Order: sequence, then C-alpha cells, then structure tokens
Amino acid sequence: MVIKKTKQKENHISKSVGMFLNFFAKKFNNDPSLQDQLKSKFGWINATIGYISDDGMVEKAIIIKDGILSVEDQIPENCDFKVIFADHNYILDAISAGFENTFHLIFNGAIRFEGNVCLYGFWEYLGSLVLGEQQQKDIEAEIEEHKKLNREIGKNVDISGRQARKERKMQRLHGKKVDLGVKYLDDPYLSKYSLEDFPRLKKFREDFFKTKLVVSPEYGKLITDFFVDDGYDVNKEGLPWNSSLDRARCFQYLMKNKRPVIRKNDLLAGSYTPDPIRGMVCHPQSVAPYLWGELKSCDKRELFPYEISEDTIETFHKYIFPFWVKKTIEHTWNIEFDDSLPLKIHQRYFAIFYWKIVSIMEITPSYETLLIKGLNGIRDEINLKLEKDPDIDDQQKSTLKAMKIALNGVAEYSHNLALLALELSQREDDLKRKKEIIKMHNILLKVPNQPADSLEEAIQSIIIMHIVLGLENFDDGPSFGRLDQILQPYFERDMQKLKTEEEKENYLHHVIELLGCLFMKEASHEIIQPDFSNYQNSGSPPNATITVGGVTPNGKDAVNDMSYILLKLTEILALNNPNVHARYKTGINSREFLKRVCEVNFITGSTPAIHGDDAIITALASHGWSLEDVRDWNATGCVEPSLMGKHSSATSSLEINLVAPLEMAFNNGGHPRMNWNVGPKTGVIEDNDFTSFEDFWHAFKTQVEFLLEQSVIGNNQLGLIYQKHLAAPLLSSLIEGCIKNASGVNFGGAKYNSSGATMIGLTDVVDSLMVIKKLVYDNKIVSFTELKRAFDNNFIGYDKILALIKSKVSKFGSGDEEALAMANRVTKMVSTYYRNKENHRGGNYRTGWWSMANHTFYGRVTAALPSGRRGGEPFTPGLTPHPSASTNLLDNLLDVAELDPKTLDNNIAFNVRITPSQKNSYEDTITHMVDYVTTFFESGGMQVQFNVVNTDTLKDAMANPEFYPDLMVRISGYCAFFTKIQRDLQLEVIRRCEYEI
Amino acid sequence: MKYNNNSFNEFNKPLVIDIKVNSLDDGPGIRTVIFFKGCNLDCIWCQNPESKSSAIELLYERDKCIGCNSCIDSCTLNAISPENEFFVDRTKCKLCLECVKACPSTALSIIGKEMMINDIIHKIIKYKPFYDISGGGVTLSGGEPTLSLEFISKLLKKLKSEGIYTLIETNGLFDFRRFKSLILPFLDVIYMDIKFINQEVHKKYCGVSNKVILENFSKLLDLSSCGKFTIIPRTPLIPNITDTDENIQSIIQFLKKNEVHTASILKNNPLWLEKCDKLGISHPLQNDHSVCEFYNPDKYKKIKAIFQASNIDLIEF
Repeated sequence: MVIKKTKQKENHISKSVGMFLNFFAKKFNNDPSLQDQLKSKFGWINATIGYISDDGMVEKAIIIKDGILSVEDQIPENCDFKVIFADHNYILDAISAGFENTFHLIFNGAIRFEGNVCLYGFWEYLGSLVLGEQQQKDIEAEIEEHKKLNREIGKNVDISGRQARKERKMQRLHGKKVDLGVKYLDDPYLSKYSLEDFPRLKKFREDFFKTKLVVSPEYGKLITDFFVDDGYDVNKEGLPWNSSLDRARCFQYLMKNKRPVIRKNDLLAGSYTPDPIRGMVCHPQSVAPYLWGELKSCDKRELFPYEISEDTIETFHKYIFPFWVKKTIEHTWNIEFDDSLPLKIHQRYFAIFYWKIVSIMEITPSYETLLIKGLNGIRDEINLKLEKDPDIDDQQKSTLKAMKIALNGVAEYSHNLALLALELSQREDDLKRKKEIIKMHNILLKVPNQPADSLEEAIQSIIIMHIVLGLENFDDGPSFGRLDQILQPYFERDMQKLKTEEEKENYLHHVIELLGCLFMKEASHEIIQPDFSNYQNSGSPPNATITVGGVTPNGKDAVNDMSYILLKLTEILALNNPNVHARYKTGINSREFLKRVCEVNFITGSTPAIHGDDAIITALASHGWSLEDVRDWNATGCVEPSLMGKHSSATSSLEINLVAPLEMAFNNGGHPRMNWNVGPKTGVIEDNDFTSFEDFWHAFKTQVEFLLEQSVIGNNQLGLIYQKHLAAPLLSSLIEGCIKNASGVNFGGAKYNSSGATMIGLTDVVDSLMVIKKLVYDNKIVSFTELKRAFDNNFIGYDKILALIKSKVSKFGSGDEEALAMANRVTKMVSTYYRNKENHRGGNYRTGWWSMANHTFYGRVTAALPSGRRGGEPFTPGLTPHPSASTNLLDNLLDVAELDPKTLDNNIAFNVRITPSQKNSYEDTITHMVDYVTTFFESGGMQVQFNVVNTDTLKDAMANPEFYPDLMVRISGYCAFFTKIQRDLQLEVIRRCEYEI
Repeated sequence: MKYNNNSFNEFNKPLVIDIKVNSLDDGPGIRTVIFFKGCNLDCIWCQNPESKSSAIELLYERDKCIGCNSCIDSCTLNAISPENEFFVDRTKCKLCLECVKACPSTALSIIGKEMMINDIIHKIIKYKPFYDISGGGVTLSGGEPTLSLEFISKLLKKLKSEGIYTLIETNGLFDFRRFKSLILPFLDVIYMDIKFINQEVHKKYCGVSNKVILENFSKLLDLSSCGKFTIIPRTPLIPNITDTDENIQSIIQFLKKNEVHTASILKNNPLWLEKCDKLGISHPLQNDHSVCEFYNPDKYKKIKAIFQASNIDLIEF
C-alpha cells in the first residue's frame, strides 16, 4: 500500500489523534502502577502502533519502549501494527464507535489492519486500563440497545413455543427391532427412558446451562513454563528447534503437570481444565492472544462473557501472551513469508479466512486402534519400525521418537488420574460412589495403556485420548468418529456375559449414563476466543463430531444397538457439542432407523444432521480412494467427510467468500467495500466490455481462480509453518500410515491426504448470475450498466429494477432448470480448480459448501448484489436456496439433490426450517420428515439439516431469552443456542423459509 | 390466443388456476393439487372466488405493487387508477393484458392459464418420488374439475399410466354416465361434497338443487363396493349455514342410511376475504362476522363428537 504523503498544515483530526496519544503517554509515563503494566516476566513489552489514513491526512505512531511511551508524527519502519483508515474522517467514527460499530467499520472497509494483531491487543489492553469505565458503559449501552430492539421484535407474537418445545419429548415413539445389527434392544428407540431416569446426567446438564464459562490459564501456562525452561528456537542443550521432538517433549511436560481432575459424581475421569464444569482452554499459539485487548472486558461482553480472575489476567498479560505474541501462527506467517498476499487478504476479513491460524484438528483419529492395541501396543509398533527399518533417516527417527514421547505423556496423565481416583476413593464416605471411584481407579490402571476389554474401559480410554488430542491440536472440530461402530463390539461382549433381564436392564442404564458423561465432558469446555469470533462463528463450540449409521466397509448395514443408544443421548441431552451426525444409505439402512433420526431431530429441534451415503460415497470415491475406506467415512468439523483413522483431512482449512470474486468481476478486479484493487483486471461494465454473458462469466471465473490460487498459496504456506513449528506427534500415532511412513499427519504421512475448503455464498452468486443472464443478455430488459448502477446504489431509487429482479428471474431452488444448471456450472468450476491443486502434504483440495456463520459475517462486507440482496444483508447459509426461491419445499429439495456430488466432495450444509402443523399428529409429522428425507436422498441429495422451530418462537426467544436457555438451532453445520448468538445471525435464522408440515 | 371474458369456456380445455405442490392437506401423503377454473354451483360462502368463472380474470395484489405507474401508462381504456376501489375498474377493462406485461413486480397478473396435458404432466411428474415414498399422488380440484370431463379423462389416464395415485375433489354435480365411463376408471379416491340434504336449502345457498348430487353419491357408493376406488363424503362447516344442528343431523342420517362409515369435515376459514379484493369483487358474506373468522374450535369438537357418536370415522384436514 502506497501512502500519499502530502505535506500540509496539520488538520484538526490529526491533531486530536496526537493529543489523544500524548494523553495516554503522559498517563503511563507518570503513573508507576500503570507503568508496571508495561513489564512482563521477561522484561519490558515493546510495541509500535501506527495510525494512518489513506488520504495522507493523518499519520501518528505510539512507541512503547522500555517502559516509556512516546508519540511520533511519522510511523517508523519497524512498526509492529498499523491501523489504517480509508479516510481520515473515519477516525472520528472510530473514536465514537462502540464495540459493534467498530466491527462494522472494519466490515465496511473503513478501517483495516496490518501487522501483529495480538501486539495491538497489548496496546488495547493498556487502553482498557485507562478507559475501562467508559468501555464498560459502551458495552452496557449496546446491550440495552439490543434488548430494546429485541423486545420490539417479540411484540405480539405467539408464545406457545415456550411450552410446545417441552411437550415434544413427552410423546416418544416406540421402535421395532428390524435392523440386523441391533442385537439387544427390543425397543431400539428406548422410548421408556427420559432424562428424569438419569439424575446424574440431569444435574450435569443443569450445571451446563447455569454455569458461566471460566477462563483457565493452565494449558497456556504449562506450555510456556516448558519453553521458558527448555528454550524455544534453541533448546537448553544447544540443539536447534525440532518440531516433532520439541512438541512431543512439551506435550509430555503438559501431561505430567496438568492437574488431574475427577468431577464430582462423574463416571469418567479427566477434564480439559482444572474446572470440569465449564472451562475455557487457552491455546496461546493460535487464538488465545487475540483476547489480550479484551482481558478486562471479556467478563462483561454481550456474547459469551467469560469469568476470568485477576490472577488469570495477570498470568496472561505478564507471562503467557508476552512469550507467545511473536510466535503465534499468524505472526509466524507474517515473518516467514514476507509480504504474503494471502496474509494481506486474510487480514482484511473479506474473502478468505485461513483456518490454519486456528487449528488443523478436523482429522479423525483411529480410536479403534487405541482400543485394540492400547498405548503399549502402538509404542511396540513404533519400536518395531525403528528397529527393523534400516532405511529411515534422522527426521523420520525423530518423528517416531516424538510419537513415543507423546504416548508416554498420555500414560503419565492417566496414571495421575488413577492416583487421584485412589485418593478420592479413600476419602469418599458414600459407599455407592466409593465403589464407582474404585472401579474407575482400576480401569485407569489398565487403559489407555492396554487394550480395552469392556465398554466402560473403552469409553474411558477414548475420552482421555480425545481430551489430550484436543490439547495437542488446538481442539477445533475434533472427531470421535463412528462411535457406534467402534463401541458395539464391547457392548456385545459385555451383554453376552449377562444372564438375567434385570442385569441387562441395569447394564443398559449404566451404558447410557457412561456415554452421557462422555457427552457432558465434551460439552464442558470451550476455546478462548476474542469477541470477533462471535461474528464469524457465533456460538460455535469445539464441535466434536459423532457419526452413527450408514454402512460398514464391506457395504453392509452398519446400524446397531449403539447407534440407537447414541441417538437416545442426543435426544435427552440435546447439546450442540458433541455435534451428532447420522448417515443414511438408501436401500440398506432401514426406514425404522431414519424415522428415529428424524424423531430425535424433531425433539431436539436441530440435531442430528442427516447425510446421504450414496452422494457422499460417490463424491469421495471419485478421488480414487478405496471403496472400503470411503464407506468408513465420518463427519468431522461441521459436516465434512473424513476417512476414519487414516486421513489427514484438515477439512476446514479455507473459508472462502465466493461473492467476493463476483464483486471483483463487477469492478475490474477491485473490491468495492474494501476499496482495494486486489484482483486481475477483467473488464469494465460501463465500457461495455462484456458483450455476452459468456464474456462476463469468463471475468468471474478469472477472479474466482485468482482468489482460489491465493487460498492454495496461503494454505500451503501455513502448512509449511505447521511442519516447521507444529508437528502433531500424538495425533500422528493414531493415523494409519504415519508410523509405517515414519512421517506425521502434517507431513503427508497419512494414508490419505487432502485439504478442505468451503465456499460461502453459492446461492447469492447463482441468483446474481441468473439476473445478469436473463435481464441483461437473454431478455435485454435492462443494460448491464443500468443494473450495476442499481446495485451500486443499493437499489435506492431503482425500485423498478428491483421488482423486475424479484419477479422475472427464477432462483436456484425454484425448480428452474436453468438456475440449477448455473449452480452446477459454478460448483463444477470451483471443484475442478481445487481437485487439480496440490497441498503441502501431496494431497489435493476438496470443495465444500457450508458456511459456519460466515454467511452473515461475509454478508456484512458485501455490497448490494444483482440478486436483489441489499448491501450488508446475510447470504443464505451453506448452499441453502434463498427463502423466496420457492414456496414449495420439494423444489428446494430436488434442486439441491441434483447438484453433482463430485463437486461437493467436502459436503454441504442444506438448512430446512420446518414447523409441525397443528393438524398433524406427532407421528404424522415425523412420517412426513422421513418421506422428505428418503426422497431427497433417493434423488441424489447429500445432506440436510432441519430446524424444527417456528418464527414466532424465535422472535419470542429474542425478546425473552430467559424462557429459552436451551433453544438450539442449526446454523450451518454446527448447532448453537439461539439466545446466545450474535443478532445478525439470529435475524438470519428468522429470515429462513419456514415450511409447515 | 383470444379470450372471451363473458362466455362459458366451451372448448373443453379448462383453465388451470394453480398447481399446488407439496400439499399435505388434500388427501394422503405428499400431493400435488391441480385447481381448475369454473364451477357449476354458486355457493354463497365460496372460499375460492377466483374459481367460479371459467374465464380468465385479472388479479391485482396491493402488497406487491411498487407504485411505478407502468400499468396506468399502458392502459388505453383508463381502467386503472389508485383512486378506483379495486385499483382496476373491471367494468372498463377489456382484458387486453397490456398492464400485466408492463407490470415489473407481478402485482398485476392473470388468473387462469390454459395448459396442455403434457405441460401439466411435465410439471408434476418430477415430484413422483415424493408421491411414491409418502403414499401421495395428484389431486384434481377446483372450481369443479368435472366441467371438462374429456380433458380430465385424458389427464387422469395419463397420470395412471405414469403410476400416480389419483384423487378428485368434486361437488357431485355431473352427468353420471359420462363420469363413469370417462374418468371413474382412472380414479383411486373421490371426495364428494355433501353440503345439505334438503333440496330447497341447497338451492337457496348453492343456486341449484342437490337432487343429482345425492343420486350421484349413492350410485358411486354402490360402485365403490367393488373396491376399485374409494368415495368419501365431505362437508364444509360454514357457520350458521351448513353447521346447523338440523343440517348436521340430516347429513348423518343420510350417511347412515347409505351405510357410510368414513366422512370428512372441513373447517371454515376466512382466507378468501383478501382474494375478493384482489379480484375486484364484493363477497355476499363479507360482513358476516362468523364466516370471516377461523372456525370456532369448540364448535368443531362438538360436531366431531356427533359424527363419532354415529360411528362415522372422520378424516381431518
């Protein structure tokens, strides 16, 4: 960016900025207690922050060096972070803006950033020490303002939803034992059980909803301790950084020193943080330091406020963040890839979000291997490889040794848990509980070191491994995998030993409780995130996926007792994490199974998501992967298919705004809101450069491919950073291929390698292209220039064009063949590009069409579109058709079903909101759902997710959240509690089409 | 194509008002309903005023209008003005439809579309997987679909050859012999309205006697014993008109006499009110409060109980 420097008399805004910064400098320089805040355990924290406007009217820098603040009129070369205003007048807006409006200034391109965001957080933290009270008032005013608006929304709406939701679960259907794999459950729907039958789980669930999230510094502190002592770039023995070994040793240290916790009354040992009820994990190398500027306000913020102690704040501010602030993934990217265009694109938040700056966890480990071999068995396998393979080089040796070290760490942690269980059992007075803890102790002496023999051992082994894998890999989208397939053999083994019906009944009750404890343990934690995340993926938990149903690797019906038991837990706990997914294979899975899936979705309102095995298997097999492995797919992250236990899948590496390249094609490569000529020059509408639709299509395709190229370059850069800094030895030890190849999951060691991207805004793109094609070229009703003028002006004063758009052009999802063909053309274009691109692990890219909450987030950065969508409005979620596409659900279902699955190989999120008709019985409604889903899948559909909630209930929930603490909705791939999510997203869910069935 | 507003549509190709996809209320399963234009009764409460005439009509939807005046400019007869009660002065309008072409927002539209059988089939056949899986199919409704028996016959034959489950909703006023030969072989279910038993009352409210209707019902009922099709009587509950104790009792007596064990009742709903405004007509009952409201649930329960007490199962919609 070239900044114009016009020497002129300093204007009043520039003067004000100078005065403001000087006021700060003086305050800190004259107040020893404030000055103390400039010092970390490692000495003074230094930072240079620049403020500048593109028009050259403002340029100031604040320099924080060795405990002194000073203000400069010119930004020095080595500036850490720049706040750049598109126009100096925006500075006034920024000063008066509250939190929400500041985000809006960013989304409108008025402010942008360059440099180390976390270090800027340090500066913001200093600001909060001085301006805290004012900031607090701003937050409160914003909250009040939202409440007022929400009350307006909830006026005069039907409030019967408060009660009706609760009544659904009272009418549970009985199931029939028809699936071959169901051996023991006479009523697989387990209709006699409700949450009331499990007081332990009921209590845990209540705790979950009434307990505030508590920030824990434990993880961050321990890994900082390790590297402070051991050295980072060069370790204390003088050896240079070794990604595998140093990570493994750090992990082992963490495991050894992490506090073992057994929650009161829990049947499973272990926890993410010392707080086993609602703990926030801090990952200092990925997202945690982004919270720096908000440490003082995060307990009061509107969305997901955290409980954070003064001690914790100090630990973060003085110890953890200063150590990691120049070692975060994003900063390392900046340092190691000088002037990276992908990073610049990333920091503008308008087109590509590179998820690797958060995590690579969307990979499913092989828990089957863990249960069959135990840590010991896996270690034996590694030793064998080390001893017997003469060809392996030093790096491979370190890779294998690192795996062993990491596995040893897990053993130490479980040993500590075993000791704690013993200690607790000795102190326990309640005999029943004492027995439980002793049993737990004995189990922990055995697993995860040894193979599991019983279901209880299997579940304990899995949950320990699941927790620590999450800690190793920043815990975003960690998968349990196909838990019904993994656990059924242990369930059957246990059952075979039982003789009487009563014994079996009691055992079943115990199994439900055990799995309930597993669900609650997953739900007990979140990852520390800055407020910005509440816009991008509002209300999204770590999203641990569980997949049930589908077919076995040899193509047989996979539904079994455990499938139904897991569905029962999904029903009675109704949580958004774990994120439960059901697979349905037409012609093989029973209607009885699908009916239960639909019933659970109906009762919970939003989960499980339902996947069509035919379409997904077709999509995955098109990569040439073995059919047996493909049939063993499970959902990971949000919805993305990953081949269980053998696939380095990183499925949500890239979140891409597909509308951005469309806007760039309208503006000859420039992005309107960002005011940035980032793309190639592809033609000017006003100069009549596009004489046919194909001309314009070519421009669009060029912009798309430019952006996708940047996505691949950036992702591969980050991939190299992971290889260099963030090897994942533990995860690697549980992925097929890594031991055999002596190469980790980030290095291409896995049997299968791919990277996943997701494209956001398909429907908005297709509907816009259709308007251009029909109105401008086919029917010549308006000129392209006139149409552009209309959307450039947000359709203000262009009612007639807007009316023509809405009434004369068929949308995707309306059943119109041309619109469907356009959608297929777009998905094919993107998918063809990605399939032919190689990632840093030697795999290729897969294309998905789900959006998390990016459809509202990216909607904010996008001006009005030819589709008639106004500037700032959300896109449709996932690849869901626009609410106005058709009044008829069948057209939506058929259009989505007819997209070529091979172009959707990283899955889709297709939202359908339904509400039960008063006229229908409970069973009728579920029967209708089953009919829709079956037909959808038989017509080729890939995925569908129902929200069963009506508009009035949602409006009432916005206005009166106290009545709806657990109202759960599916956003796009993940589920969230409706009253907790950001307003844009709430309104988007309300806007979705509602079908009465 | 020339339309004549005033004469009856003689050439046996009925106009289609609408094809409603994904109906769960017009028979079993997921169904597509084809509404045909034109009716040979004149029920005072008619809730589908757009279905009465078999000719095309001009529809104006206020909420879609953006006030761009394109229609006013296009009208050579000065029939359109915001000052008019119904926007379009139908006494001046000759249905040249220039305004419909000019309207950018489809606030002005034509109701009634001539469709070839193949067009109809093409439009509905793609939903067949939904019909098959849910036990649904296609329902012919109106207006009165039997006004064009030959056309309907061809359509039903085609539907049957595609393996689609068929249902007709009829007021029962048709030529039995022709009905039997032309369409009965292709029907799975017949819903026939039994509004009144008393001939005079029927004539008063529906414009014609119900003699033929009741005879047709009994004849079809006899034929249905062969099991090839089902016939279900259906009574609309119109407050103080059809839902009087006397009428309900006489309907039940009639059904019992004919040994009918399954029937259907339909609740009055006020959604037709806005349709009148769009069509530019006044409805005879628009000031009758009870007809302009949703049906009283207590009254509905009471009537349901009377049917059940007489051992008649009710299919509810």
